[in-house]
Amino acid sequence: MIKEYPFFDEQIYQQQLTNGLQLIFIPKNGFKRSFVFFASHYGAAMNRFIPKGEKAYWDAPLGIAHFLEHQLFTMPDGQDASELLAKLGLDSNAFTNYSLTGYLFNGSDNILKGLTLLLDFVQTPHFTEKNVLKEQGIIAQELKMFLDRPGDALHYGLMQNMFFEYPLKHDVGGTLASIKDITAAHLRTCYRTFYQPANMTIIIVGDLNNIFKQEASFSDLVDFVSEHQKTKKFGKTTEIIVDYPQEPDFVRTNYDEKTMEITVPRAAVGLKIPFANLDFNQSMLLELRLKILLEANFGTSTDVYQEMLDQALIQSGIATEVYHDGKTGYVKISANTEQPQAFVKFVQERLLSLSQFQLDLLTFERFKKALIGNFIRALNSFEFLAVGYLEYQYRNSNLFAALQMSEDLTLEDLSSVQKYFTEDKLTSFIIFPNQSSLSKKASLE
Amino acid sequence: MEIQKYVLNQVPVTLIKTSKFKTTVVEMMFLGSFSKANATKHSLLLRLLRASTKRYPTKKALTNRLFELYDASVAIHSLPSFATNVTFVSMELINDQYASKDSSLLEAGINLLAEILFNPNLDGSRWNQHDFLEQKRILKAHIENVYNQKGRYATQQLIKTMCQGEITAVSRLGDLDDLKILDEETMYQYYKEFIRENLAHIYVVGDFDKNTIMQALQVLYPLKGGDNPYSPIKLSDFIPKQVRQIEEQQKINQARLVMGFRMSIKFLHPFFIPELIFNEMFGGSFSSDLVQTVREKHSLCYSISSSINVADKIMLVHAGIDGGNSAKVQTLVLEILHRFQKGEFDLNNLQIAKDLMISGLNEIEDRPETMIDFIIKNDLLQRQMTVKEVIDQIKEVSPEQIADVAQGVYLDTVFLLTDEVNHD
Repeated sequence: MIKEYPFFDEQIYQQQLTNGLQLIFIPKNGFKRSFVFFASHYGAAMNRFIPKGEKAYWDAPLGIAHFLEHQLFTMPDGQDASELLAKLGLDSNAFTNYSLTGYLFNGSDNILKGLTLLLDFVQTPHFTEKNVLKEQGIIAQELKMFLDRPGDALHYGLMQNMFFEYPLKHDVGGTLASIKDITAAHLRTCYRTFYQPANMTIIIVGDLNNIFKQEASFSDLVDFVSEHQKTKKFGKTTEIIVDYPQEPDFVRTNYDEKTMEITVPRAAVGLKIPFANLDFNQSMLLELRLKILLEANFGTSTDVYQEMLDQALIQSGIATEVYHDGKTGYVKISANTEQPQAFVKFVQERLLSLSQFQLDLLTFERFKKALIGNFIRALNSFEFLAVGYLEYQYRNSNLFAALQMSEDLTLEDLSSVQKYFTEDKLTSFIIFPNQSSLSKKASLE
Repeated sequence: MEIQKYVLNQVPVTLIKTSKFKTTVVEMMFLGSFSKANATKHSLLLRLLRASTKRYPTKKALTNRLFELYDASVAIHSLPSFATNVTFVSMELINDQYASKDSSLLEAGINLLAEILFNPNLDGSRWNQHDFLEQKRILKAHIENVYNQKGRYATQQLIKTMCQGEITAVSRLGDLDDLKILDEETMYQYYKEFIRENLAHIYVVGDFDKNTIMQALQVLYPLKGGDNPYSPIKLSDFIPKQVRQIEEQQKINQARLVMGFRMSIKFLHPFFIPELIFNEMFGGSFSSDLVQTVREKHSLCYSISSSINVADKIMLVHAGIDGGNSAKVQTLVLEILHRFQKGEFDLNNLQIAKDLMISGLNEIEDRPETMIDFIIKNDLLQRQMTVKEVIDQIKEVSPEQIADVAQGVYLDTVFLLTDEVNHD
């Protein structure tokens, strides 16, 4: 199947192979570089599920999807897949988020060899207790690195306030305690359940003639991957049943705080948005409307931003984020600030008074232009195209349709969002400098 | 793709015409002096230029103008290369075909660049006070906030000690004491000096019409062209007499170990190719010896890497570890270095390092920024090498040359930001 997006000068070739594996190709003629991405629709939000072949739900240790990602690079003969890819001149990496685990590489030569190796190592699991033990030490250091980052601490503090059970409240990597509970048998269970070909997608962005070193078409790529898949044995495809916790529309608690070794407080305000009741188009529209409302109320293009700077409610920048995954979502507004409580009060009051907010047509049209320009610029990135396309597909939508939606937005649409801005959905989190960092700062002055 | 070079009002202009991208990038490079005396002024000036202009006197006005240009992005930053301060002013705009209702975004974008550079927000012969005080306050906060990024803070502390009194120790972000004494008038004087004395180069990558772009670039005048009188690389070597060990404690979860090495570079290759390959093999990639030994074999860290700064002739090794393992990690790092010095390294790894670098070079034309970076590197070092020539040189690097680079690496200072307090 080919989908054409002439306005963006993009095409998407897509085919499901007989074993269920989805193959997507995005042509980039004239480019030497290829980007290859192999993903399982398995992320940190899917921590409670019925393991393949079993009947009851299992609560996996936190951080297991990410742990599995680390372990897959170790091949049965003890070799490391990223080293083998490097030997082909290919630069590899992997990441796990809440909805997917992705393995990837970039390069200009040996793409087909790399593709074979990528399929091989991801589809040849090899989990041993010895390797698990070794990886626990490495991942513990990864988690500790994030624990010292104030931005991450602020984010997870806010998420803990917002959610009762939903996995967004936990770091993708789990906790120092939860990773110690992970065993090789656990990894096998997760792998068996979520790494079935029908739950996986391979996306290639590049120039087929470069990849095949001769004139080639999408069907050559389909044949190549299909032939490879015939060499592998997979069990019967089964339905994957995940239990996502049902989140109330209101937040778990409206405030919490902590201290860290930092020089200036950080504050975040969160607004929980019940995306669960919306179909995909409604979710997309809500996301776009929220983005425009946030820019119109807190962005650098407003007088409010200047007012916050002048009153020292923010130190310099203010960050806003809209997130949703089809089940739940949130809005986050955060900043470094010497007056964290005043910042929180200011932002919350503003969010609650949005029902009186009016935006003029000229400003609205300008914001739309900015959304469009921002999207077009991002399309230069192979990574954005591939990962973005897949994530939209997981949510039953289309990356390119999202842009059309922003073009079609009207000013009247914005008012529909205001019903979400209520006090029971608001929460805030503040990180204060601890005593030793305050003394350090005083010595600098 | 077509690369053409011109001189416009004495300023070198490089036009790279390609329809591969959805955007057009206009980048200006300015070469000037980098010193303790001007680093903080320079850092503040770049903030002031990006904050507002006479015509767009507030952040709101400037942001809205960029939004009208479909969220055109403007970036202004500097990257010192030894005694040369290299300042970049760049703009990325979507191609006109995606902006159905507007014509020539590119021309409007170049006019805005001219506005940012030549029409700053002045009140007579002083910088606008509101903007000045605001940006001064923000810069002060940014300098202080380095403390909050533990890896960066550890590196900063190491460099401060190791390179005390040298230009390498001067932070491009600026210094709190130097910032205190700056005022609106000083900044105006420094702005005039910047425009008058820095040497400009202009680069454009995108799908444009040559005559139209050359006409549009006329507004970027008066700029100065010419040869850079400041050295972009340190010529002398420094061999430390003894290793200094410094430790600082904070309430943190992970210790940050930074080992600072001096490098003796012989300038045999114009692009420092043996040095770059050595770094790739030593700690610059996942397959490097540092990662494979300290992380994969001994499970002592998640991140460990080496980086080299050939302009200042130093190499840094960074690792996030448990503080108690510091001595063990240092020993492992030095053992690996000694093996390289004796030429005892895996020849396969030499090939991997070469292949990865060649692969990166092959992809240069696939991104506007990498294309410009490559040409800039040539211009800065006053060389004119093609990608193919660099690739050929990489292929020729021998194991002996790698050992030779390693033999010129000396440990100078070790900084450990430790988490010990937290473990009490």
